[in-house]
Amino acid sequence: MQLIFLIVSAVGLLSALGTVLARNLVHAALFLVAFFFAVACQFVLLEAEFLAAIQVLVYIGAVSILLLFGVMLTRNIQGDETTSGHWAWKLPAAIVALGVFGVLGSSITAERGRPGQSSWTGTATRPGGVNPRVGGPASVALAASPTGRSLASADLDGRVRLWLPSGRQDSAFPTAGSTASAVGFSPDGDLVAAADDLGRVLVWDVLARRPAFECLGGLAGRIASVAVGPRRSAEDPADRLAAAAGLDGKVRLWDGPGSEPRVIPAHDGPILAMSFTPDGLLVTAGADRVVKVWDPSPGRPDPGDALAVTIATEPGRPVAALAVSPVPPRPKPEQGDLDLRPGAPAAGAPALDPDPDPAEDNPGGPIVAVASLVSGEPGRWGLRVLDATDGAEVASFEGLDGVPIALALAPDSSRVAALVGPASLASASPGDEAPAAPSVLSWEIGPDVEDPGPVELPVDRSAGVGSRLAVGAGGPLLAIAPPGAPIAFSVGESGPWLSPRSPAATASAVVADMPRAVGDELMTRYVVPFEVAGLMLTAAIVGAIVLARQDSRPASAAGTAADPTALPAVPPVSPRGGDGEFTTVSVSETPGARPER
Amino acid sequence: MTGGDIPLSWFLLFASAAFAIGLFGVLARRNAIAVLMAIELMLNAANINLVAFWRYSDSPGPEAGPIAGVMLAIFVITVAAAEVAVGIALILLCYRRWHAADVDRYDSLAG
Repeated sequence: MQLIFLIVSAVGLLSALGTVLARNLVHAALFLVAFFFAVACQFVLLEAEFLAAIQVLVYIGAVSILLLFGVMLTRNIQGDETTSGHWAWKLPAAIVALGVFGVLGSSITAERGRPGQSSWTGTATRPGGVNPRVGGPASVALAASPTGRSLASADLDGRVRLWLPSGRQDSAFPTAGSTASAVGFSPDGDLVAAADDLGRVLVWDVLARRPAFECLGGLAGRIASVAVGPRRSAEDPADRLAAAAGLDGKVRLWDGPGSEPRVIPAHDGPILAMSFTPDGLLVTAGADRVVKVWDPSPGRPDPGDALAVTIATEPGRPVAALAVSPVPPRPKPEQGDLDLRPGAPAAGAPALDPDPDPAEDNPGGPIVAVASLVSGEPGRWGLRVLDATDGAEVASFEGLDGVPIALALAPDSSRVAALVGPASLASASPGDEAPAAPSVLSWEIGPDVEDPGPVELPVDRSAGVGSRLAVGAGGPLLAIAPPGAPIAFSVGESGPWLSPRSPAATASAVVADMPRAVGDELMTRYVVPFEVAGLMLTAAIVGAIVLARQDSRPASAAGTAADPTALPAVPPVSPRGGDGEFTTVSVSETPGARPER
Repeated sequence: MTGGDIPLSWFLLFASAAFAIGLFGVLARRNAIAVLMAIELMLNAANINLVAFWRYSDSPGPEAGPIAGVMLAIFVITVAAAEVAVGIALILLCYRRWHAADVDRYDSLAG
């Protein structure tokens, strides 16, 4: 990409020099067209494709034609030569121009950026907007949308960012606090909620990209998990329950915007995971090794009476990580041999059910994934996926090669992933000198899965304790947020981890967000090379015209001899009659004017 | 999309170089149409700056819209197109009056 920029810039600056130095004004105008095209290429590199189209239409299509008309109408093609004197102002003008460029260039390269802002000269400073964030603050929480179309991160700078599966940033919402601490989607994926360090729960509309409502009075600084309930009335999309679960084991429930929270003691220890089911039940999982599925509607009995399922295998053994998913695993949709790998041709979007209906011939309730020690085998960690309503085991994956650090369930319960740290973190093998790098294991779950996996993806060593993990619905998308480092994505069965800055991140990401991903791919693969090729072609044509004209000046007959072949309507005799005076006029501009002379 | 590895300063340096070249053209050229072309160079250089700073700016915010910086550049393009139309018309009028497109010859407002 830097190479493309350098080529485009070199062509652009050479054409700009040609514009101001060419004696022949027609040549100057053609150089100007090449410069305009180079600027259009720069706009493409800056991801302002619309502006590039405007540039081509307005400047190349209108302005340069107008200038050519001006040149022709004043019959002053030789430019400054026809006027009296020569370039008396050339040297002072060059000194002034070089001085201006020196001042601008030195101050640009000397710019180090104000505190809190990125430097102009850094290569990893391209944030914001509709475009991939590069670098930037680390995320403290991740959540995947049930629709499979986006992924939300709560970031240390107090913003909540939505990411498309292609690794592109979709939008960023500011919270009032200095950091955001938790993030969660509503079961229909329309709203995303986040908690900041002031104890506020803010809810945004994902599609409209604007705030929906906010809830005050949460547990400041200690909210570990947030959730928004399903829509309760057809009229008001904001009429929903919002819940924040704190490290104190209590769930605060807001009954719509502006209401006071109801504080409900739900667990004896910190609540680690929480989610609303599509029919309005709340699933909470706490560090007390209990999962509860309960009705949070006003007037319902206390969750103390709710169905509680104990999930730990051995008393006293810690539960390393927990994750809940609001829907039971379902059979995979009839998709044939859907191939989601990056290079696969015609990768159709996975058939996502935008409105999952949990009741359709699907027994079972919400599921919970638990990483804990395998009973009877000290030092061995295992992963179990349980039905949260009755504790029945849905799937079990034993013998993790290390300590599970983070756990994530896809919102459609199609996949479970675990970040497994090196085994030496466990006290079981103190003699292991070179610990293996951490890796992310992911398994498919569901009633008709023959080969659940795992698929293993090694991750960077920075992905240690404190990392967050998310699995996208409907496709093999993984996102990891290591502590203190930006979010990274992985698409495909065994693809590498891609941070958004990598050009390959978007080129290889053809997942759920098909239109945008395909657009990115097309832009990367075809449009930019075509623009560069077109630019080269323009420069070559301009150069050829200049060379041909310069040749034809001393030997005019040679320059015009080729014209009759290019213009078959012109009789071959007629150009020779007028070739003396008109050699410097662009032949193609006024082909019909000459035979009469 | 792609291209995150290009520093912002590269675009700024390209724009300032194009601006300086345009400035040289405005000062050194004597043909009025050539001066107009050099002005177009400078306006395009300014446009690159606008778009580059928009693209590299931190956190435009959800209410700023996805093309807030592009709008300003579109205004500049519109003004530049109008300016060329008016400028060419003026030059043609002056050419009729003085039979030259040399800016040095345009030394009287009343003609």
